[in-house]
Amino acid sequence: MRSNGPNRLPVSEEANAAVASLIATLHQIEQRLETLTGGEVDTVSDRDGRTILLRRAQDHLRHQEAAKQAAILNALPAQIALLDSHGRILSVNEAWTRFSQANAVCGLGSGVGTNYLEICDRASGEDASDAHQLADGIRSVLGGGVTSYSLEYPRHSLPELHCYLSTVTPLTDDAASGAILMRRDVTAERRATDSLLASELQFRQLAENIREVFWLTDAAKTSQLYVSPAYEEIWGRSCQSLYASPHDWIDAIHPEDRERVRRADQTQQASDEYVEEYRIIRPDGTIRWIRNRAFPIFRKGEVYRIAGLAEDITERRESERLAYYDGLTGLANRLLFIDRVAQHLRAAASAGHKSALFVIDLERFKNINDSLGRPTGDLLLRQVAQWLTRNAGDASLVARIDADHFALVLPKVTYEGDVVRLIEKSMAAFLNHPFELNDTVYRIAAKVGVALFPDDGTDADTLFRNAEAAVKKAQVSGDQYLFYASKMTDTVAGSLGLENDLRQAVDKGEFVLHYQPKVNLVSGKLTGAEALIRWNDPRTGLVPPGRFIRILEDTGLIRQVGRWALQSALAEHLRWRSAGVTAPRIAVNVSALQLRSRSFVADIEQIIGGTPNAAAGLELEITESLIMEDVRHSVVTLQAIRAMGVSIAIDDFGTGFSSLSYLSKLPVDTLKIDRSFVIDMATGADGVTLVSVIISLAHALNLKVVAEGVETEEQLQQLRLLNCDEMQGYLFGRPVPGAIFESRYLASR
Amino acid sequence: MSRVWDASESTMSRRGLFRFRMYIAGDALNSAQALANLDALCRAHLPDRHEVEIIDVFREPKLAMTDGIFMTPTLVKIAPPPIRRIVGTLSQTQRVLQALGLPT
Repeated sequence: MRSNGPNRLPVSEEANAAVASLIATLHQIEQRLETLTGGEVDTVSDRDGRTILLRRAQDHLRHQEAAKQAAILNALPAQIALLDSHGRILSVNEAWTRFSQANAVCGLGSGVGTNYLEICDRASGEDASDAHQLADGIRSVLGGGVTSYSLEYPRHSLPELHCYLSTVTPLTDDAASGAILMRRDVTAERRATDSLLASELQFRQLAENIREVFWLTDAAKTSQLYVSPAYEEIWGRSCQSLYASPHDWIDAIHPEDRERVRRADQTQQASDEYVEEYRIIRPDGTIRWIRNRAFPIFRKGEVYRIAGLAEDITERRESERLAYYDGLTGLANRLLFIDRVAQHLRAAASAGHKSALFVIDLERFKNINDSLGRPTGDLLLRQVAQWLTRNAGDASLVARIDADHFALVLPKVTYEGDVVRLIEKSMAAFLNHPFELNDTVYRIAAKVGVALFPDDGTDADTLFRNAEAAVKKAQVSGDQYLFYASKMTDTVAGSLGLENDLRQAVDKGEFVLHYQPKVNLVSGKLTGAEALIRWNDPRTGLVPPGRFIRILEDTGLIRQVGRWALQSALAEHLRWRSAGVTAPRIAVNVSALQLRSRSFVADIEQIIGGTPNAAAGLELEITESLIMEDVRHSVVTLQAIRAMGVSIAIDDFGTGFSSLSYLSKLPVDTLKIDRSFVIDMATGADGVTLVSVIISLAHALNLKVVAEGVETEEQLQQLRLLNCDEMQGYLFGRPVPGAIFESRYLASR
Repeated sequence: MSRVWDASESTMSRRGLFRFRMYIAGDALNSAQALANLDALCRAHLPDRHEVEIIDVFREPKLAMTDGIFMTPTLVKIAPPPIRRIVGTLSQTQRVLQALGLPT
């Protein structure tokens, strides 16, 4: 740019005159045109088509334009003021004027000519800082710093609290030419917004502070509209990631549950409320259980959104799991097992096949627990659970139902024989399995009770009870496993009360021995006595052995009672001996449990060991069938006992199935013919022949023969003819207490 | 740009149709008066048989030039022939009717 502009020449008088004459000519021409056209013409065009607007029309248009703009400005509810570059108010609309007049008393009068910036600068009180801020804004617009400035502020100085929004914009592109100030009362809008914000705030406070996840999707569930922050805590993923990819919701579901949830989602009507429970896998790999409830939101009868509440129910699931599973082994507990068995039975019933239920008792478990400690016992239980699961092939078939009891269900049984083979094979495998506890290998034996569906019960409870009854029976018998037989239930159930009474009877010494004489058939002299056990129940008097012997055997009490009988019988004999009477040998019955007991020989030795020649006072009566159960063991045991001087009699001979070859090898002294053969002698020649053969046989083997149950003179005569050695029965004498026996049969020497 | 005031063509007899073109200067006073007078005249004397095209010379100066229009407002009767031009506010109704060849 040049520093010096061109010199301006003074305008000459001549030029001034020329211009004045031109203007005069223009006026004349215009007046002539007006006259010519009668004032009715607005424009005139020259030859080149350039339109000249006549002055009348010009004025008219100018006024009309200004009126239009004024009308528009006055129609606006906003208060508008035109400010010059110094902030002076040049023009205002009616709304501004109305406000100024109405609030003049409040010191807010701001008519044309006043300086708005100064009014703002002078403001004091509560509104002062807002006013100063607004003044700064106006100045920055006037200074060209910004092209628009807005400020929203409350006016406390008014009779009622009002809210205003002032907007300042430059009047033209050149900011210095002034500015338009527009002020709007936004109180009502603010109130609406505030209440919207308030309800939004309440919703957020609710949604963001509950532990459940609140969520909202569109009706098709394709876009996630909202999810509350608890999602991040439970899912371990950010809310943002879910908004970005709503499918994450399904992807997070555990693969084992995903298909089920997806299927349910598809079959679900969008208009249905529904609840679903499933597992999710968090990014860190942990698994949580989720319970998700969904509710449709309707608008105009159509579902347009779906709202839901999802909660973490892992703890609840866990406690439910504890209610149905054994915490130690992880197997189902009794409750769940019976439920599962019931399902299997329904399937078996409809398919028409059998099922088997096994209850398994670990033998000597209590010993292991007591001697090695409970942690070791727990370790064993876990190993047993693993073994059973592995052998069953499916953990859902196995349960731990009790401290040392497990159960197993075989849902489909085609042949009962298969069950037997399975048990024998499995039990052998179990017995051979080395359980390692504290670096030591243990072999664990088990007893098994089996109940078959539908033979032993048609419902799960009954079947289970009966399998338990079977294992209970197996526990006290020599059998490793037992099938439930229907008659067994009655015995066990009915004898439970009796069992308790008998245990007390053992403790209180309520058992007594009665003695029945045996006499020589030829001389009629007393040859011996059989000790018979009686229970002197203080409430009911004497109880016959038929009522309780079986239970003593079932419960194992027979070991104690049998030992007591041996001791008492011998003590009676020794008492008689010392009392100076002819003391007969006393025969005592031996039960299966006693005979099988490893300590039986030692027990006998101990009983007779204290007194010289005591063995001569004792005879053991053992049933033929008991001996035959395990001949080899019986022979060894009986030989040892007989070597001590105690004699042995085979009881109830003829009811078992001994073969001649065995009979010859048995270390016995006496053979007692069962009472049924004695009774049968009266029925004819066959009966007599049978007894005759038995007697001949016994004599051939150098055995003494005693006939049992002799009740008639006729029987006596026949037995005498058949060369029977001795007899026992009511004909000669019933069992009586020791004192009576002594006074009645024993003569002093 | 032009505006067309018309009656529904389907009911109109093409034979008695009066077609006008009115040249105006924006919202200027005389032009506005001319439009108002023409409207009144057509409704009174040519109901359902007139068609008016309005041309603002500020917007379409070339069209006015082509048509040989030197002043606004100017009314041109295009049909029926002969073509007639009337300059002014059309406030003297009798003279306008005569110029258009309509009965007074």
